[in-house]
Amino acid sequence: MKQQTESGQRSFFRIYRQALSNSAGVMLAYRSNLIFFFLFESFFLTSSFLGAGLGVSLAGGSINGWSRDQVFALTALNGVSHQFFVCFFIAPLFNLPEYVWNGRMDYILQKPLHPLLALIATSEIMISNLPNFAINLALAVYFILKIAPSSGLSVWLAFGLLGILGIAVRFALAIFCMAPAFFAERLVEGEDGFWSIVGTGRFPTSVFPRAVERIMLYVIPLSLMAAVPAGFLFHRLDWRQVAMSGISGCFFVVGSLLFFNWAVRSYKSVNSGL
Amino acid sequence: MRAVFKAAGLILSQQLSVQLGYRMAFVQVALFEAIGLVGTLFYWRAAATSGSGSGYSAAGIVVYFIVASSHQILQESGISRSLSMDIRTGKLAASLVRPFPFLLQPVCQGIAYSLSRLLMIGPVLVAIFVFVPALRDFFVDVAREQGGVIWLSGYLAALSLGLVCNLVVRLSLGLLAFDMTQTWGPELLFMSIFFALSGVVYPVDLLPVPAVQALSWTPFFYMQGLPNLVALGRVSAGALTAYLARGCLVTVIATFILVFMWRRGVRKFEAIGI
Repeated sequence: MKQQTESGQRSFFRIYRQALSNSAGVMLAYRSNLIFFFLFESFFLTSSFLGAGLGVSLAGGSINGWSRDQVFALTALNGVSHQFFVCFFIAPLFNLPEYVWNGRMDYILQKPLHPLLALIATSEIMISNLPNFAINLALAVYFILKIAPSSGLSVWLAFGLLGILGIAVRFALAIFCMAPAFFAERLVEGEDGFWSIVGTGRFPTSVFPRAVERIMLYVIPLSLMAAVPAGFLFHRLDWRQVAMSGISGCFFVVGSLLFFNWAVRSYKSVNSGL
Repeated sequence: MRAVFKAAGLILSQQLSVQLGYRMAFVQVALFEAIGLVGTLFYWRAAATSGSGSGYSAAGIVVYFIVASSHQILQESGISRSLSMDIRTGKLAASLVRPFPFLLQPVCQGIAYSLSRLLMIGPVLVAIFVFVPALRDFFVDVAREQGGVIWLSGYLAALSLGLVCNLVVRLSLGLLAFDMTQTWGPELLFMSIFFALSGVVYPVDLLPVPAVQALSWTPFFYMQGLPNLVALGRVSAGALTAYLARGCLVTVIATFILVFMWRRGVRKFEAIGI
């Protein structure tokens, strides 16, 4: 059993390394697309900061306790999480309905890996988003240092863990949106759903009415994607809130994996696409 | 000419039945959009509630984003993709032999799209604005201040200009396929610029006045910003006349570019397709 796991891990990393080099090759071959992607993401970044900044200006300098720099740091942290997700996880999950539709899922299931790992290992890695990932990261570091929250090592460690959990929640949300394709191959609107829902994680939790805030923190923990790590670092949320949200996030992620395992069993290898 | 009008009528009725036939897909997408809108509404409502001086009340800001989302729903966005696909695959050749100008088809498709969306969201919007007292009172106040008929005429003119502008710009994007194999790069870039500058993400009049004046020389302002602001009664009659005149000029220039691209493209189109 242990040998099987080790062999599976080795296969995963070998295939993933190959996929990474193939993706880089493909992306660099289409250099104009690379430039367009960079410009596209840069304008989106601009609109995010413009929207966030003008909102703070309208509020007179701070929104429900969040200062301008804190809102900017939150926007940048959301950008980091978003770009990381796009780079490494968007292709495997968002191509899923097409794989089900054209039967390519058969090949995924034949690989000596869990189907989700096989999807990740064999899908394109969007290296085109790496420059914007770096820009967002630099902006996040800049604003966090500017605010300079007085925090000990334990807070920074917890912040890092929350950031990782935030990406996992984003991944889990994408699974919940895309895996229904296993039940009906033309359920392709999941992508639109994901993009509509995922944006709610970028707002400070305090802007929501209490009931909605609790849902965003503890029931469907979308705020974990960015607002909880930032809120924790800037002392806008306390340990209890963060811990409960973190636990809820873990349940959300585990729930999404169980949902995927259940959904993938519905795949019948009978498809209508070409 | 009579044959052209007859063809236009037929295409329009066909497109309407197609668009209305897919109403379940629309409902699904609209539901996702509504979920996404929740975060934006709460963020901006919090901003308007805490601040003062910009003239946006909490009700005003909520109305702004409801109106902006509705305008976005009315605008056909897939038309550029289908046109570029027709050119790329050579399918345009079959359309060119028909006894009416080819561009009539996408134009009718755009009109049918907007009409069908209006039929679907119109009753919902009317219900929201009639049954939510704060929003209803907001419009009653605007109509009282500006004069009901003048305000409504100005709004309809701004909205119509926005829809025409959208159609012209989207068609021009699609025509890029005469020169490029893949047009999704410029299309994504356009979308990101649209989000950054049009007033979808934030009320465009929160920008400094020179920036708004500069934007009014671009189609983006007329596709979203102007109709949104007129709906909220934030543009005086004099300014609206000037904006409408400028908007017509921008649209005429954009139409000349569209016609130029079309004629040039059709001349070199070889109907090979890939």
